[in-house]
Amino acid sequence: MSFLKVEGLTKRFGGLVAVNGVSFDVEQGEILSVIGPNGAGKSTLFKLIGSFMTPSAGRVLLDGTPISGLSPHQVARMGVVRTFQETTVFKEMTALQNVIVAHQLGHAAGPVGAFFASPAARADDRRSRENAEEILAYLGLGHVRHELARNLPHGYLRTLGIAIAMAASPRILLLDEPFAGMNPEETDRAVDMVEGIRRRGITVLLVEHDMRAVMQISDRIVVISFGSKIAEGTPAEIRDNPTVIEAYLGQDDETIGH
Amino acid sequence: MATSTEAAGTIGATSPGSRKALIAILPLAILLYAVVPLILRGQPYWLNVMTNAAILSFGSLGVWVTFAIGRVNIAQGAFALLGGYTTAILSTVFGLSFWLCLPLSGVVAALVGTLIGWPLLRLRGIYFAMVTLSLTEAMRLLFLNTVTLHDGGGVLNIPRPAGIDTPLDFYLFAATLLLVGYLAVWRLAGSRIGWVFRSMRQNEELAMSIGINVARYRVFAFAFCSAMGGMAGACFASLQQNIYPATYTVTDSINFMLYCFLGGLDFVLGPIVGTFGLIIAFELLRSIQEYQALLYGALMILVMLFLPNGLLSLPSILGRFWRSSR
Amino acid sequence: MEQILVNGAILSANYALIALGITLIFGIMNVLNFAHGQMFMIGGLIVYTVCVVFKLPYAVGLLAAAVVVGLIGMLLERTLFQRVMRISSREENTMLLAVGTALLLENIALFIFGEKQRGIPPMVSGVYRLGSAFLPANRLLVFAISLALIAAVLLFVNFTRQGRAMRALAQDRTATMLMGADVNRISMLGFGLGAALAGIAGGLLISVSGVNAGIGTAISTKAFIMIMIGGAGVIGGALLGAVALGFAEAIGYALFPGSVTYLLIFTALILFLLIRPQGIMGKPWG
Repeated sequence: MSFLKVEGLTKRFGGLVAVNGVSFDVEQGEILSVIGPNGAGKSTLFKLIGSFMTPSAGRVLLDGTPISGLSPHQVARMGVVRTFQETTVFKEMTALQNVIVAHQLGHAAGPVGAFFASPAARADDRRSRENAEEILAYLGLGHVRHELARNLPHGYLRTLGIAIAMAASPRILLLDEPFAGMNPEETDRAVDMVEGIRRRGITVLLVEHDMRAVMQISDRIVVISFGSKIAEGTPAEIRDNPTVIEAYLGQDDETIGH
Repeated sequence: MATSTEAAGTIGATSPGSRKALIAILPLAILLYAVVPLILRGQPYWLNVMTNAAILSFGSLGVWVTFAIGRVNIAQGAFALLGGYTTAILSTVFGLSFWLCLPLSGVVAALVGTLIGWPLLRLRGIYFAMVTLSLTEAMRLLFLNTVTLHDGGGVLNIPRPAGIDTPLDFYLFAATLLLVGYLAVWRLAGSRIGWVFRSMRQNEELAMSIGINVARYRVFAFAFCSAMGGMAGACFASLQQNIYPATYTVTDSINFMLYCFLGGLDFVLGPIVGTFGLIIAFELLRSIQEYQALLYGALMILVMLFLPNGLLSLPSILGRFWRSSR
Repeated sequence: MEQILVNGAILSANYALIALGITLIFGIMNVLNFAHGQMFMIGGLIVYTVCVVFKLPYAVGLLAAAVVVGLIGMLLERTLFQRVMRISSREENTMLLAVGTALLLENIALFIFGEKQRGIPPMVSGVYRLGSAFLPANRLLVFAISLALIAAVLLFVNFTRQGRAMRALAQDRTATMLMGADVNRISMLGFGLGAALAGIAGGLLISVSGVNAGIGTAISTKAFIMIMIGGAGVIGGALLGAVALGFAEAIGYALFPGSVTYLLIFTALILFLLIRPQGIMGKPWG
């Protein structure tokens, strides 16, 4: 049984079909990328999987359990955590506080214990803090952990967004365009980081435009065009797939990238 | 911003709680328990003013909690009215002691807050503000049309709490209630729950994506706020020994909100400073009777213009000014 | 029955002016003008001053109300709102500033005029009959003027350069800025226009039922009800809300004693908002 199963997912906005009967599986521990030309519906697909939108048809299953239609926080608690396309962080907190506050799952003490600062709550907080420091250090943000998030440069904010998501103990991480706006050097570092995430036991599903990065990092690729899946396979298979090449004709050479 | 600097590294309870709590509460306690009685001992009028300020601060602290989750709440007057009437009816018609009515008023207000809040808290910004304003009016009209003990919907002859006989007694009771409320909100703000609130205020979607049940926390904050409003109303009803539909109007709801804002939304002490500051200012202007309201309004605008983060932001502004001029 | 329709129509027309004004301000500046009711009240009191104290014609009074209140609006926008919007970190700050201006205007009005209810004698006398309904000539005049003004505003917003600039600003602030429009000036004019509408509405109402310095909050509340029903920032919504409230009041006051009407209106409103929080024509959550 696959880890995450997307079954016939469809989303209609009035007369417009943004996502049209998309199906694919994600195996545990793999890095799967969803690519496609601009406006193909990738972002909508992501929001559907993370349950930030309800599908018009179809469903998503995690380990056999249907998760579509559950509220986003419930889906997060089950282990499906997404990042956001814009630099979405808690701007008025420091980087460290951002990641600490993201530790909302797996507490020993409940809200009452937290209020009265019970020993269990204090242990929780110590653990959260240690874990947050570790995640930030691992992602290379240790030196700015006491900076207010709104003062951090753009590139750091994206990484911080990933740190926040990782603090939520995801089983599968949905990365929304993690390589956007990066130069080749930054991209290589980010590719290493995503590999590192996978090594920590987290399955990765990512949406991306940057073909070079996608080819480097993915175990498998799903190609979406005009809301429908047009191809699925290994990077080598996708690179030479005529349907895929045709879908990208008319796009910048840059995005095809080989 | 004060919340991040004051809490840098202190999310939750990493140090012995009781000692920190004592430090947080000591200045306020000294002011309320020692300074005020010392100065105002023989002046019942001013003791009454301070009692009123303490009760209003308690209500404003509640509104502070809803500000903490990113809502502008103009309904506190409704819950104060609800709490006041609960106490009024329970004590006059059913003869219950005030000490029982007080928590009951809080519970009733919290229940109604939960019921109403659950669907309405989906709204944000001006929509939420307008709906809560409507709530205040609706509550007034409700009591006007349903309470038939006396003409005009009022309840009279509400007894004073057992054991409270002098203005000083009532003041000390109100001050104690305020200190307890302040401690509770201060602890809430500094705990993990407070940080959840902050995260919700800054980005609700992000908070949801990391597993926070935003809807539930919102309702909790609103119910907490309403409970404090209800208890404030209960105290006031007992202080005045009467209550009318017009005891809390839209203006009062707006005042609760303004006191928070003018004191400084970044600080738990804000609502208390704002309330006492404005009430004392209003009283001091009483000697210039004609211009009182006018100057009051102008004062408020000036604070908004030059101290947009409230009165309590003054020390940090002065600090920056001092450092940059050296 | 006809009386209810007549009353409803008249109220709706007057309320539409109020709703249009607050909608303009919200649409252009994203600020809920808490002082709208106070501006209405000041308009009324200015007409009183011009007509009763200075004994000038009604038309002069209305013009004075529009101009003075409009200027007050522009002044507030230019000196207070622009500054606070520039320097504030939280979005609540402008809302609370609006609350502060309401308080200030109310206190100024109380200071100058006191608490007494002021009215002016009707400009025209006589009563018309419309079926079984009575229609005082005075109210008919107010109705006609209100309709004319509503039409004028709609024409202005849709067909003049200034009006279209305001609509552009309401739809997309950044785009309008990028097109070289003087956003500050448009905002100021928009606020002034919205305020002037409130002032005129007050000036019209004082000839019908009188005005006192304390009615600001009540009128603001009505304005809020209308935009909650119709949707904030949408002109069509403002008109819908005005019609809804006008007729709800007319029907309510005919059927129920005094304050029960508004209790029912509020209850119905809150229930309506539970189903459709953004109002009939509003954008989701706003």
